Parts: sequence; structure tokens; C-alpha cells
Amino acid sequence: MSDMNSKDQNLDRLLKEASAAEVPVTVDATRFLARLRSRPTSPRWVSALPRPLWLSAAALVPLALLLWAMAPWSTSVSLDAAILDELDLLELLSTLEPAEIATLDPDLIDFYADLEIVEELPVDLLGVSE
Amino acid sequence: MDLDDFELMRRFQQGDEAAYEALVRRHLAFVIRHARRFVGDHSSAEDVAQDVFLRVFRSRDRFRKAISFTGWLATMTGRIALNELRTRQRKRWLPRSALDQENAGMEWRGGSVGGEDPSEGVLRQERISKVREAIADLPLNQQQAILLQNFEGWDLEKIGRALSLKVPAVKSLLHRARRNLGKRLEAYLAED
Repeated sequence: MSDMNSKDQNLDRLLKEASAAEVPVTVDATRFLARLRSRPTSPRWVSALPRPLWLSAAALVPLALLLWAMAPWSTSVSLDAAILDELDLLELLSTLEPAEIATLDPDLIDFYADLEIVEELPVDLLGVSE
Repeated sequence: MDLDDFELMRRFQQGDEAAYEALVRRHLAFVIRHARRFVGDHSSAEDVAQDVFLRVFRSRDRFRKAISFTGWLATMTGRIALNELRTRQRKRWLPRSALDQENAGMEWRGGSVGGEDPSEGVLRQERISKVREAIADLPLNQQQAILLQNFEGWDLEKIGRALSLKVPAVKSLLHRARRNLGKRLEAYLAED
């Protein structure tokens, strides 16, 4: 137990040392804001579309939604961030063998975005645990 | 403008761009500092900060009082910075400021400190480099928790608001992060 406390304290010391070594940030906020103001505030793909095409597409959206809602297979699905995360998760898992998925160490995965890190790990490390 | 973040965001949501600028000025150093921990150099960190504040501008209507503004910034910064790193990895690109082999990707104080032996300065730099690498190898959520606690001095509640976690979950996250760091830094933890 005392060995663990000592390692814990040493880790604190290392983190404190690394933190103290950071160079303070100096930034010209006015220049930063000037650069920010010159950037488009809507996504590039939106502003790149010709206006008539954009208006036509916008007009079709309500029709598309209506048709989708009327379709026999449609369900009320809210494509919020959580659902999109789950779709990313499923897409990633589909690239792994079932045996690999079964050995995934939950400690390596904090939330869905971290699964891309898991993807890069060698298979024999996926099941590492204490 | 001596208003809190929520009030500034509320005003910005109603079209007050001076409120948005006040938010940028207030939090710019933090965002760049936090981004730099991921991407390694100031120039790339500024690029990340540009994307973060652009996203604040575009997403202003989605911000709700229940969210911690600094937490929102920290989360966005981590994600955007990580995407930047992945883009670099795919393109095998290093920023000009990171081409110096000795300090590649680092914005840390190097050399000896206050009269210390030069060889100790080298060892210290090596330790710092290893700590930084070990943190960078953590999953994003663990990186965020470790950096916000140890480099920004945030308490568990503030970290929890940033990561949308309750305090016990933050404790658990930090425990896992420290355990993972301990494995990577074992050689340095045994030193007295």
C-alpha cells in the first residue's frame, strides 16, 4: 500500500513538473478576431452551392420528409448526436472479428470517439487488463 | 464587458456580436493552451482555436444554460485537436515549428532551471517529454480529465460539467487515466 502511495505521489510530481514547464500562451486577440471574422460562418459546402440549386434543394426537403414519414418502414427517429455516435460504433465494430470484440478491454474505451484509437491497436493488446 | 459567460452567450444568441467577441477574448488563451497540449505547437493550436470559436459562432443556438461554457470549449478543443492530429498522421505532415528535432512538437521550457546541473536539465526534459507522450496515448476522455485537473487546476465538479459526468464518474475516469499513465511511466515512478 505504501509503495502504491509512493508511486501515486511520484506521478503527481511528474505531472506537476510537466505542467510547470508549459510556456505561457501569448496571443494577439485583436489579430485573432480579425482572422476569425474573415472566415465564412456557414460550412464551406453550403456557401459553395449556387443559389438557385440551394433554393431548389431547400424546397425539396419538406417534400422528402413528408414522403419518408409516410413510408411503411419509417419510424420516428431522431438523428441526434447519440444516434450518430452509435452508428459510428457499429461501423467500427463491423470491421472487427467477434472474437476480437469479445476481448475488448472496456478500460480502453471511454466513449465512442475513443474507438478510433482502439482500431489502431494491435489485436493482441485489445484484451489487456490487470 | 463584466458579464458572466451565460449572459454573454444569451446576448450573442440574440445577435450581439460584441458579446461573442468578449467571450473570445476571455477564453482565447485557455483554448490555445489546451489545444497546444494535443497538437504540440502554438501555430497549430491557434488554427484549432479558430475552428473552436467558429463552431461556437455556428452552434450558438444550441448552447443551453445547463452546459458549462468552459467545459463546452474544452470538449470541442480536444475533439478538434484530435482530428487535426489524425489529419496530420494521414498526410504525414509536421508543422514548420515542429521540425526542430530536439523540441519536435513541444512548447515547453527546456534547458536548465535556476542553477540546476545541466545534466539534470536534460533528464528533466526527457521526463517531461515522456509524461507528455504518455498523456497523448490516453483515450481522449482520460486525456481531457488529466489535463484539466493537473494542467488547468480544475476540480472534479468542473471537470464533470465539462465532460457531462457526475463526480464519481470523474473520479473513476481519473483513476483509470492515472493507472494507464503509471504503466507507461513505470521507470520514472520508481525513482526517488
